[in-house]
Amino acid sequence: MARRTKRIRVTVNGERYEKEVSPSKSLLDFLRMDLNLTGTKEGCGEGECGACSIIMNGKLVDSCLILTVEADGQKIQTIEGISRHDRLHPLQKAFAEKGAAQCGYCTPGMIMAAKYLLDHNPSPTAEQVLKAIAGNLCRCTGYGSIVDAVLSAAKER
Amino acid sequence: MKGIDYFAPPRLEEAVSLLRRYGKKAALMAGGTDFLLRLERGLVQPGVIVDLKKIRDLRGINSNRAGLKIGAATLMDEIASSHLIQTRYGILAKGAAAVGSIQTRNRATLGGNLCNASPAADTASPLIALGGRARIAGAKRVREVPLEEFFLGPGKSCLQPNEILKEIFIPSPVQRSAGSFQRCTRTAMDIALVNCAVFLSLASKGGVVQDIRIVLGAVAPTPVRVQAAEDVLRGKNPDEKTIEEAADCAAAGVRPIDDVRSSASYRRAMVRVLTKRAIEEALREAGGEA
Amino acid sequence: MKVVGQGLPRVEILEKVTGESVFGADVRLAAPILIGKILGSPHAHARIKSIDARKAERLPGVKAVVTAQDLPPVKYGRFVRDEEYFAHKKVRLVGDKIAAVAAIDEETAEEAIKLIKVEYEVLPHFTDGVEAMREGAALIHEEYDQYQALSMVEGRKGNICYHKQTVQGDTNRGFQEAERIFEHSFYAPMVHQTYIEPHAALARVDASGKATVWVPTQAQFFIRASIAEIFQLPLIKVRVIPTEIGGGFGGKMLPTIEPAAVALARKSGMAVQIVMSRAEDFQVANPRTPCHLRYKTGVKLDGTIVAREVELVFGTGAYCGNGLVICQRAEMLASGPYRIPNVKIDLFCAYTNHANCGPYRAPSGPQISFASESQIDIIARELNLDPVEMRLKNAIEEGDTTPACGGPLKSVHAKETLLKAAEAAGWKERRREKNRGRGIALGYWLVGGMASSAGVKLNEDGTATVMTGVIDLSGTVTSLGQIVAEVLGVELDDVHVRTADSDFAPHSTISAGSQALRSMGSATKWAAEEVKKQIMEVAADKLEAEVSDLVVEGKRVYVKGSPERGLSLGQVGQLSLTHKRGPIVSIQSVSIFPNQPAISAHVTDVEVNPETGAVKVLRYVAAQDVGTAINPLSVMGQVQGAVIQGLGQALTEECIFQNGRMLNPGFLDYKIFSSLDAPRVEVHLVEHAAEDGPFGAKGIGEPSIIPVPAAVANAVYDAVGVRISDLPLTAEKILMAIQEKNKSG
Repeated sequence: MARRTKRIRVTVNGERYEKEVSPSKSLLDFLRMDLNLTGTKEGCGEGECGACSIIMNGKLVDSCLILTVEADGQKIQTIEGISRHDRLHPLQKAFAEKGAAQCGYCTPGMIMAAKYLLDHNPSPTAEQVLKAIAGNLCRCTGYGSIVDAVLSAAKER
Repeated sequence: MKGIDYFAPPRLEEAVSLLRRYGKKAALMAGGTDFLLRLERGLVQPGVIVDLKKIRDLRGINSNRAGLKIGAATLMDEIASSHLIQTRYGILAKGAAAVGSIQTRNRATLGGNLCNASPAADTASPLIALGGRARIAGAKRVREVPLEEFFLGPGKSCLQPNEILKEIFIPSPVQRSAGSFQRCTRTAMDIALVNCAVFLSLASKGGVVQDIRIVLGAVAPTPVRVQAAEDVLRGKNPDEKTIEEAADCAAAGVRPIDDVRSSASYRRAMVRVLTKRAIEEALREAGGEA
Repeated sequence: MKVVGQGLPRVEILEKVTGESVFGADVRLAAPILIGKILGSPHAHARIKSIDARKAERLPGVKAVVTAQDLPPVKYGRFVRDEEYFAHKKVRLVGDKIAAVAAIDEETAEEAIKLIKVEYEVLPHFTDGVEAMREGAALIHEEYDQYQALSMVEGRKGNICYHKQTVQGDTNRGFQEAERIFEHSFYAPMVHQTYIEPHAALARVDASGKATVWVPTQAQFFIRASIAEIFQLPLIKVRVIPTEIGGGFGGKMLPTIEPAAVALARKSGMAVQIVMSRAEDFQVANPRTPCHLRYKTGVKLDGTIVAREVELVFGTGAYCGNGLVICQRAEMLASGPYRIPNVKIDLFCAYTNHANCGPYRAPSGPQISFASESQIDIIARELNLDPVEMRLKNAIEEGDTTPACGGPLKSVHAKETLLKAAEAAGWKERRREKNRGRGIALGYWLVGGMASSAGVKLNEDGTATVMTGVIDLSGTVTSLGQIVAEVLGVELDDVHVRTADSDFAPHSTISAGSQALRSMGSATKWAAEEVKKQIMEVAADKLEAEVSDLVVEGKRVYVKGSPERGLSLGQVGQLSLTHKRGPIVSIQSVSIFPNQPAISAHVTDVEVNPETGAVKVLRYVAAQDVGTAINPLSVMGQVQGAVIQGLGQALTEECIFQNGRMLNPGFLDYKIFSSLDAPRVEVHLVEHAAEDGPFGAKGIGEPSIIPVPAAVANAVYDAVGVRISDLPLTAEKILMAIQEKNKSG
């Protein structure tokens, strides 16, 4: 059975890729399966939990609700792309120090949401942090340590 | 989902043409936050996806003396954070800000929210309250429909096959007008169990309500204006008793259902509570005394 | 202590914050992987008349289709052998597994599933335990009396899977002595763990027929045993490799998709990965048991409890599974952490047509506490007693027993924990404000311990490796590392501790029940102490000193008072290879532990909106008796997480069914707390080193989920004077209750 594919070009974490993809493939599946970037997670596949959050063209989005073909020509940043040459991003350090990750499954999406906040608002209040991560569900921490980590990372930057 | 084709035309005419060519096999998408769910669940099985995001004509927030034009593919986030909309058409900014999470609002579009036609759509009630009009592009011409006639039923808008929602127009607010947008939810991040948008204007002096629109969402097959409730307040300088009467009227004028989210009776009770709050807030904002 | 007691980051934290951790769906092999999907029943209860998978088999891209025909005819189950992996005669829940397919991609697998034709004869179904137990109810397991079951499974009859009465003293006499008697009924519906990672597994079967399964699991040895039983394989022919786990909470302990993956891998000759969708996970994975509770309590006017009768009806799901674990817990907890001379607990566990309920974090704890602690509050108010005073009057003390707890309780700090919570919350100094209320509740949990063994070895450079099969859920693995570091006088960074798989790990307890640390920690500490002895033995020979003169500290072993007369641990490691003793290593085992109380006491302040009924949690104080906090950062994290999860159960979470199908199998309508709902949790630890357990540590993962629903219910009553007896305390229920109350004046 012939399957139509489309050629797309996308930059992920600074690397350029050119691939043939099925139009119905989600960006999340593309990142995880085609590019083997398994840091971004699927928690619900319905845009409710935020575990698949990435930053595309500077915007925080849920990759499970984006078709790969929509990402043609776009710049994407995932959790794998935020540390620099073996140096952890301040958010990653802070999450580690403050116990802001327990099982770690929501963590990549959560860090991307926190990064999106700090990129736009370098000195957020605790309340702003809570709003910024409202689309990222965590079942382990109760969110308190995550807020502490983001505020700590903001101070460090 | 096998063998789907995908087009992202840069011009509106091309999109319309694609719709004509592929007919029932074609599905429109913009932000995709509703569309991908329907695709995933097999509720829609298109042979061709027509993505509207590249069409410049469908984006943008433009204001002049007559009013505000918002392209249908404008993002929720753009609307929620637009200073212009926040200050002059505040209830629309509030409605847009209530749609999902940041992640959702960075993809979801105004047009998508309206064309998805959920009775709970958070941009629908404010737009109807503001007297918004939908401008719809088809093969022949652009037609204009008041938002309150745009919705026909749950999931059904008045768009004909081969029509694309192009933009929303909102007339400039008159002097001494203000609105309020209220929602009732189960948790902070939630679809509305009930939403209520009120927009009113006061006479040039004093507290008499010159005009008012009261719109309720998620309590009928479409977002619904309760004119009987509006009539209670129009031409009056409302006191608490009048406001309560209007709220009672609103509660009587809706047809909520029981569903997994809420019972009909709770929704009806919340209509009363939210309508009262919305009227009071709108009056305060407009400069009157509640 | 230098390392134990430090809030050190988890050993695997760096991989978690960089996204490198490999969770269930992240596993990749050099070989191609097929995608597997499972066909689940659309009916809650039906006979299967025929299964025809031929079209699915012939679909291009499909590499294997399996049904019951492909497995040995085994009935399995930990307590009652009532489950066959693939249904072939009958389905007993929506989603009951009938077949599985493996295909080259997800789309093909989904299409193949649709092509499998099954004919059903629909039967009446039950989603409520009480309904299922009625006389003449259609049998969910028609051949129940032919099933093998453990001898402790009492009272099996019809749809009743277990019935036991536990008696202490004489409640009839007790009620005669009582000056007031109170009777109340409560209900806690099914709720779900909603770990953010849905179930996933990857399986391959090699040429020798050995199955390897990569799976996020809390119970690798149990999964191994289950797969071995289902396929009738020796244990060494099944290897379970625990991946990183994205949350378990008791829901990743029973086999779910793993046997299907193994069956498909065997038939196709290729590796097969199955990942549950969120909706599937909600529908078939192992939620918290719904429970009807009736409490009859007799008291003296001064608040002393003289008698308590509890009737519990659990709806355990279509198969017994781990259902009796919940029952065993319930028997011990039902009467509460109170000294009551006369107790009768009548516990029913019924089959129902939904998913096997699993031991979700503190199984039976929150349901029981909701009922028990709500009633204690009702009684206190009726008798005009302060709720704290009433609890203090009756709370257990050192040496007391509660029914079925297994002997006089040691390390009991119920009163201190209660007082700590009350004090931290300012219980005595409160201002009354309209629509605001404060509630207190106690959580009773008994921590046991299970057979475990652990190994520690000294590497040739003085670093140490811990060999353990326990997985890290609540920071246990890190705590094990801290224990070893403490014993060997090194830093946590000098110890390698990660979960080994079932081929190589010494037998390990499950990571659940708050006992992993106690069990595995004890075994690990013992092994470390043995290693320390061996270090000193080797060093003593070399240093020509007595073992009793040696100190192991600061990564060295040296003579007391003459630190220059010493060796680094690295030198000792090297020496041991030529020493008569040989390489330094020890594996130690521990077995059953007596039950140890882990009490939690919570106080919460809430505000109720009288127009909408909505509850806002203004403040939350949680005190917990933890023994010794091996890692305070982990402990705090566990308490905070447990409370927020408990608040969901208290206020917003409920699995809603229609015809056995869950109507809200997604986060859109199954509402868990987001950051905007969660209050800050103030944590207060009560630390008295317990009788046993490594460095006196007690289990920490579960106690703080237990009292949450009751604390909130009591606070709501305090705020607006309405008592809600069934969870969750939704705005709608509260508003209706307020309106009723206003009507009756």
